[in-house]
Amino acid sequence: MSIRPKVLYGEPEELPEERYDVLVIGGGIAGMQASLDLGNMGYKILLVDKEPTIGGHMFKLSKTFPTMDCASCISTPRMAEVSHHPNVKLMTYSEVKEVWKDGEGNFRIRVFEKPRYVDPSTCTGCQECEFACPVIVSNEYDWGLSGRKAAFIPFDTAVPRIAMIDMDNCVFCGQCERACPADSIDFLQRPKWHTIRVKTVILATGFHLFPIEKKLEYGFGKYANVITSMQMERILAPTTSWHAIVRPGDGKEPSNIAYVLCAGSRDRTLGNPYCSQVCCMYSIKQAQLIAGALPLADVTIYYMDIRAYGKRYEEFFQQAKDMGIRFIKGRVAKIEDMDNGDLMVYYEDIENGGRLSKAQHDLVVLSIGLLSNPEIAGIFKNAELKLDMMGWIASPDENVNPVRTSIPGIFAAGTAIGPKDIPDSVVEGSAAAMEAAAYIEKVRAVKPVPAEARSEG
Amino acid sequence: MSTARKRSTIAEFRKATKVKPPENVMRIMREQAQVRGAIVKALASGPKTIPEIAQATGMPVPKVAWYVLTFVKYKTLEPVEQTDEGYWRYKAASGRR
Ligand SMILES: Cc1cc2nc3c(=O)[nH]c(=O)nc-3n(C[C@H](O)[C@H](O)[C@H](O)COP(=O)(O)OP(=O)(O)OC[C@H]3O[C@@H](n4cnc5c(N)ncnc54)[C@H](O)[C@@H]3O)c2cc1C
Ligand code: SF4
Ligand code: SF4
Repeated sequence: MSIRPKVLYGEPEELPEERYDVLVIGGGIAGMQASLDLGNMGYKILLVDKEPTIGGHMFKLSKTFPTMDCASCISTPRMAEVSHHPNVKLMTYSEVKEVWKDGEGNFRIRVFEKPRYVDPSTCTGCQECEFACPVIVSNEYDWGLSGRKAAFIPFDTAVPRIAMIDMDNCVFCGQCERACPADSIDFLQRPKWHTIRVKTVILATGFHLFPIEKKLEYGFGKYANVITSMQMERILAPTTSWHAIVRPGDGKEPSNIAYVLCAGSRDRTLGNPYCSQVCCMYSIKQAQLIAGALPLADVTIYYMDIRAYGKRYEEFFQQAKDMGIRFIKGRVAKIEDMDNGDLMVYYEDIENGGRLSKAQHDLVVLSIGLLSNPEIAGIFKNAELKLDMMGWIASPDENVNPVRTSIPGIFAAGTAIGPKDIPDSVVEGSAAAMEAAAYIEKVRAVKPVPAEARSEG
Repeated sequence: MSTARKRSTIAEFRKATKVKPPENVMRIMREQAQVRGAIVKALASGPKTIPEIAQATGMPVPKVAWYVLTFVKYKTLEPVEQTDEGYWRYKAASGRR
């Protein structure tokens, strides 16, 4: 999920230097938590996200295990709180390109803000431009389940809820501009370069989803009724663009659904030997949601081990069994499609002596793993951000201080450090906020913060 | 709708950049207009399921499914009822845009 324009029009505008206490990179749940904690302590925060909306992966989920809270109901108010907080400035659709350490408590940052071609100060989010636009392309915010227009609002609950133009797919017909009642479309908008001075930085850049099309045996991208768990999150979410739970291949309501756990995790053939930690639990969650929404449907989970290690997770797993969800211990070897769009799942049946068995399903969900986001190391121009061998941000004191990084004054939180669930990401967001505050105060106590790094207020 | 429009930024943009609409996107857009027309035409005789629309239009079922679900989102189509086999029937939306 990401929109990365190939072409940007117009000479970038260079803006005057701005000062903040803390730069938080990444507006997922971990980055939002860190920003709110620091903002509430009175520090001035700049929160930068590369996407046109904050919220990260969490606000696109259906519900959250094991409490079954509606994910967008709990994340949207938090996103609104961040965007209205007097001490937090939000910069979306922007990329941090360079971080220079000019001394302790003194970082110089270069941020590139991409144009949306829409005036954020007047856009009301009415979507008239989107309805008028004649071009439909695959919607990356729905992981391709449906289409979106070239003029579009990425998400119903986006923060900020502002339209944007995807220039790579625009035919420059001007229908959006004619339809906009607020005169907000502005094709003359230019990219902007911001120079920022801060005292400390928090990296909350999250994770990528495993590209499961690499596992050719599972047929993702080839068989229409093999989908990923993230797509299933979108189908089940209250903010879905679909009107019902149907299979993408032909619009039929599924009645016999299979989950394949560890798809792209714990798999040396794919170079991913580690456990993604959340796939067992989110699959059990989705299975329970399906059992509630489609009471006649059978749900089968193919697993290697169930890792239900957190508070109330084991009970959640037992509850799924009580609801009639079948658990089959066995690694899925391959999936084949059938003439009617159903799938044949071949698996090693471990509880029956490891023999090869097969079963027919009408929808298969691949519980894909979490991948690291190592690109972030490239922004540090005169210091080295150390990553572990799988590309997650490494801490020099992993056991006693997981949010510290190899660069003093740079902290990390959430899934940027390694796979984890929402509660742990939130805890690390708060931990990184505390560490950042302690670092600022320590630098201030040892020597006055240089004038060029001081933020107003 | 506002009456006093400030200016056409798309006209200024086109003049300044001399940019041409990308050929591949133009092709996709034309094809989409045809797909939409064919689906709406297929539904003129009454609500249909996705496989029935595919049969009437000669288009592949997964392609019809993707467009139908997208058109429902943009309120061009609307679901009517579910068949015993679990398919939805669709019709052109009354307030079609
Ligand atoms: C299918 C699925 C279901 C799940 N269900 C649950 C569940 O029910 N319960 C649960 O506890 N957990 C669940 N999880 C895990 C949960 O999604 C994560 O724990 C959580 O989203 C991590 O938040 P984060 O802030 O660390 O990262 P993210 O949500 O990934 O946010 C990172 C943010 O950083 C931004 N970013 C990245 N790089 C840059 C950059 N270079 N510059 C600027 N911005 C950048 C991104 O745009 C994004 O907004 C699920 C995960 C998956 C895949
Ligand atoms: S100018 Fe581009 S974004 Fe606007 S309506 Fe036309 S194709 Fe869509
Ligand atoms: S750009 Fe105009 S038409 Fe589009 S959402 Fe904003 S106000 Fe509405």
